Amino acid sequence: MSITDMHQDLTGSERIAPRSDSPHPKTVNTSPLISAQKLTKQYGAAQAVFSNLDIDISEGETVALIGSNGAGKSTLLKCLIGLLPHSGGQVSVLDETFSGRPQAAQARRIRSDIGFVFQKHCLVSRATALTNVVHGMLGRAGSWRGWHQAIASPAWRQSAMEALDSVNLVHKANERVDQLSGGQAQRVAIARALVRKPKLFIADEPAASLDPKSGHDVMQRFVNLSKKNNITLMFTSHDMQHALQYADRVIALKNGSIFLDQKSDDLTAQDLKGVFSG
Amino acid sequence: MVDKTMNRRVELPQLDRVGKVSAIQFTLWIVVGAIIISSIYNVSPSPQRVAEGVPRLGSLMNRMFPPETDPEFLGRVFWRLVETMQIAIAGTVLGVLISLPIGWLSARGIAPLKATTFLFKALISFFRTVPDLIWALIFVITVGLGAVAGTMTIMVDTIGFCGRFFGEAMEDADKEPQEALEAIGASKFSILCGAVIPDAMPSLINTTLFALEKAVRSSVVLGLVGAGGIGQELKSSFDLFQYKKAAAIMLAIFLIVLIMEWVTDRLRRSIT
Ligand SMILES: Nc1ncnc2c1ncn2[C@@H]1O[C@H](COP(=O)(O)OP(=O)(O)OP(=O)(O)O)[C@@H](O)[C@H]1O
Ligand SMILES: [Mg+2]
Repeated sequence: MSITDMHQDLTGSERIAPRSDSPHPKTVNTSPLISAQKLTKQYGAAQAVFSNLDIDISEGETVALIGSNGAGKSTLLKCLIGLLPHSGGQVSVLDETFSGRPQAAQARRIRSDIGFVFQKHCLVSRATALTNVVHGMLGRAGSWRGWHQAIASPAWRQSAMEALDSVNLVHKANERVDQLSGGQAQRVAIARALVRKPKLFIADEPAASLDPKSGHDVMQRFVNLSKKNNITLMFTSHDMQHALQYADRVIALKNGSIFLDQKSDDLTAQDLKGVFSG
Repeated sequence: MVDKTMNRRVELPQLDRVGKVSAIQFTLWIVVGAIIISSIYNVSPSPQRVAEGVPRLGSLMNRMFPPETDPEFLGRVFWRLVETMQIAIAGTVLGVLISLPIGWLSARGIAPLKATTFLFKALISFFRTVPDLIWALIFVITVGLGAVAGTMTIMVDTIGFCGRFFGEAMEDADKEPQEALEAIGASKFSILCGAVIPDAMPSLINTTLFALEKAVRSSVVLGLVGAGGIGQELKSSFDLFQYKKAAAIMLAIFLIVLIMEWVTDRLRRSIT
């Protein structure tokens, strides 16, 4: 599905082309997008951050990962996509299966289908919004054209503008990131992730550096984009309301194991209190 | 009622006015003192030498003024000044172009090869620690008298200066965008061009302008050892006791360095 389609989805217009234009036609795939068995992670000789986790996440799901500081949320996210090697168990993600660390070729294939969003926007602040979105193309073939918008191919520039449009920032395309508000910058970061046309969004506390209003705005857009484009979204958060409101499913880590894993519809804020107590 | 805690005499520790001096420290002080005193004794001007020098300086000044104004001579000085500026500009530009890759290769955490960063750091230090006049002598011998030797000298000097500060500016660049691009699989070179250089740009430009300023100042004296530029003219007028010409040249040098500093200062202030 092209970004143009994403844009049409967002603006509410009718979807014209069926999804058969996708370069990777979807076979009916019952296996989960992410699947971890007996996943254990230990930094050096320290006590394991978590051990024997079993997690299955299906395509199109929006999952919130919660837990107190140091519970291992960031570590788990990185282990699930092979950015960090795990110490025990096995992970399958985006049809690549590995134990420990993925092979270089696997890692490349996994990365190419993921869009990342971090707590801080992690943009090049002296570059324009458009250049930063074009950066999303780095790591692809001929990716030197992703250094700067001025040398990007017309197709890449077009995709980048469409991605900016889907976060309503076309009017800021030529503005430097250090001139944008925190919420706008985070939306640019989402556009940078989106321009990769990923299958999976990985977001580590995407709203943590924002004020409550911008936080809701960014989460709302992010979740809408994921849903409309059938991109699986896994995000961590300290905000219980975000977890309940924007995720289909909430997974809580506590003391190195899964404390809770439920559909968010079945949960109340009261249920989540236990995650942080004791 | 008297508050007993307020009235209680507290035994405060008696501190030494001077910290204890160990035997080693004491010896070091003696050695340093001896070095300073013997240096002053051997090479400093004695009051007598200074007294004798003052009238000679007066007579030199006398012979320098008024500075030479012969149009033909001033024309030659003008073209020598142009050559000096060309040496400075060409040497700086070439040096900056070479400093970018060398600075990158020497920058910890950013260079493509971790193991060789120290080698490039050492190379840059070597370029920097050998003084420019010595580089000029070397290049005069290897590529011959004239402006080319001067340009090469400025180039090497610029690499010693810019290589170091470019490398440091790259090391100081914002880490977060670099990590974000690394996560999506961007190469080290793409990270350099996409994230590191844009972030370090003000610092890179600043350093380049300082290098240019420095190059103008040193290109002026390179002629003293035959490496082209205005210095050659200055040396020959001193050698031939043509002090009025020397005075004119010195004024011209003073002007050009002043203008250069003014220009680079303006440019520097316009960077954001
Ligand atoms: N690179 C590392 N080396 C050693 N220990 C680490 C490293 N990174 C994290 N840890 C440890 O692993 C544990 C989990 O850290 P992690 O960052 O995954 O927690 P988190 O749930 O993301 O916390 P936060 O809410 O503060 O982001 C912590 O105890 C932390 O000290
Ligand atoms: Mg974290």
